[in-house]
Amino acid sequence: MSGARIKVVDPNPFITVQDGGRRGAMRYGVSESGPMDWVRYRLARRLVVAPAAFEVGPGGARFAAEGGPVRLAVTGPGFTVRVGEAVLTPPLRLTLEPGETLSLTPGRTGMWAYVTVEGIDFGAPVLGSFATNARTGFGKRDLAGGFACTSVQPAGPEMFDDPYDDKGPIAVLPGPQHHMFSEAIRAQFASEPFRLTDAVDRMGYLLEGPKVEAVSHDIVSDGIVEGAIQVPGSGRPIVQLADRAPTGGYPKIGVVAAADRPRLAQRRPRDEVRMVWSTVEEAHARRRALLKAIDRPAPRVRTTVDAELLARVNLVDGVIRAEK
Amino acid sequence: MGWLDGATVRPSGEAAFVIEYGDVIDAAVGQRVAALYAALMAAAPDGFVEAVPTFRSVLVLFDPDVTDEAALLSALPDETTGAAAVSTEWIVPACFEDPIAEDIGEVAAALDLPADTVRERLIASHYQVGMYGFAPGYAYLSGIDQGLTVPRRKTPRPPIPSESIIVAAGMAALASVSMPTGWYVVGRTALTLFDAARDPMVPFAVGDRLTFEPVGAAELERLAAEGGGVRRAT
Repeated sequence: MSGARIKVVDPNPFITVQDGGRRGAMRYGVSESGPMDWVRYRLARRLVVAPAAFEVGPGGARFAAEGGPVRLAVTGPGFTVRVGEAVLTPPLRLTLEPGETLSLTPGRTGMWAYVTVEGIDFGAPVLGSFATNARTGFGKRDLAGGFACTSVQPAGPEMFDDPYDDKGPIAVLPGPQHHMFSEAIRAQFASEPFRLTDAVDRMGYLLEGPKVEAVSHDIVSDGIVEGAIQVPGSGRPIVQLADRAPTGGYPKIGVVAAADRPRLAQRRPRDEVRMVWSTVEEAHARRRALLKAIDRPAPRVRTTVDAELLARVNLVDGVIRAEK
Repeated sequence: MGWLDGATVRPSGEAAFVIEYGDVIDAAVGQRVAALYAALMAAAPDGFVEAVPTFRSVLVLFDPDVTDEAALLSALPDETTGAAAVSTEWIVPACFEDPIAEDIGEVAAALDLPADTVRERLIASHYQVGMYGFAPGYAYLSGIDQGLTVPRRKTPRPPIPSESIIVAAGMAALASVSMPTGWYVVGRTALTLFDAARDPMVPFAVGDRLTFEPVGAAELERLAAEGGGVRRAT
């Protein structure tokens, strides 16, 4: 019998519950949703047994445990975790004691972080998924009300290597209207930099840069996969992400390779992005290599004793274990 | 006839592809889309994730660790049955009267036609469900009398009631959500366009054909309360 609960303190709209996405109903007009960064999401699921994760955006988040100790995993580039006096860097796994609060704040880079809680009960899925879609309200929950989860034996924090490098160009594969863009435009698309605008959210990221001109910017709508790059008449590409509509009427020059979607999603407004044309074979190989790395999380090697970590005396055991 | 005869296969990243039967809205193209979609759903080959049929194409999503384009296509039975076998004809009661048809006057003025002529043409049209998109259960229809073609508004109008029949750009749509739109509200159905607990979640399959049967506002309300928003044509 577990009396442990976890709740979000003062939730903000960037905090949602996400799982692998709502699949199988795109044909009925239902958005897929799911995590913006599938790599860090998957790692958080790998570190702790949970059916879904909290996705935390640029507003950060605070989590409070009640009724018993709970085990959490936190992932996300650039984010910082604070519990009491301890200041920690994800990816990590730790125990949160009842009455304690974990705060997660973004740093100078990164947009999305993930928090999984062992044995958390998110209630009934909607159309087979726990994913939240803001526009339809599917999967929307009272985050402040809290969720039952497993009461665990406390253990010290464990640090892990982040399996992903957020730097580098974004690999793009041809999209269904690739043929509507001239060779010169396609070459320019991959040679000149773009910049993220302020118009970025879970539906998509609007880029600015060299004008991307198509033969026509109006097509009869067709289906849109995650990462598809639509180009409306403005010539400014919109990368379609987790909460995208399932269909749309602008030509799609390309599709961001799965292995590089997190790389794009973790960039911030005004950050530069460079595209590079890639192949399906390369995309498969890179995605599979990532899956392998995520599924075998490597303990982070600590070369120096972290003074801030030591401030949390009851966590010292974790430092030593992480070094073994 | 093979599934790919007259079709173009388009790339869509590493886990999907598009089979395109045309680049315009056309009833025959829509029927081929419906037939391919039905065959994919029935065959449900290993690694098939889902298919998104549209006016002119089918987006096929798959698990690249299990299958690929060639394996999925070879798992389909021959395209022999023809499209008529998969699409159903429906009669949908709808109210085109004021004040429900709140923008019909604007459409009539734009076309320089009496409002009653617009109503008659809406009722005489034979529609085909082209695709769902935009929002759950939001259905785009082809087949509207092309004499009723008006451009989209330059500025969206205030939110429309859900279940409205809206028109613009030579298309009609059944709106499942209330939202601001550049389209024109010309009527309303008694349908529930999306219900996550219903199987299927939407009343029509892509490729299904429908006509509207005019009813008054009171009758529409009664039908909506009874769940009588649609019946099969006999």
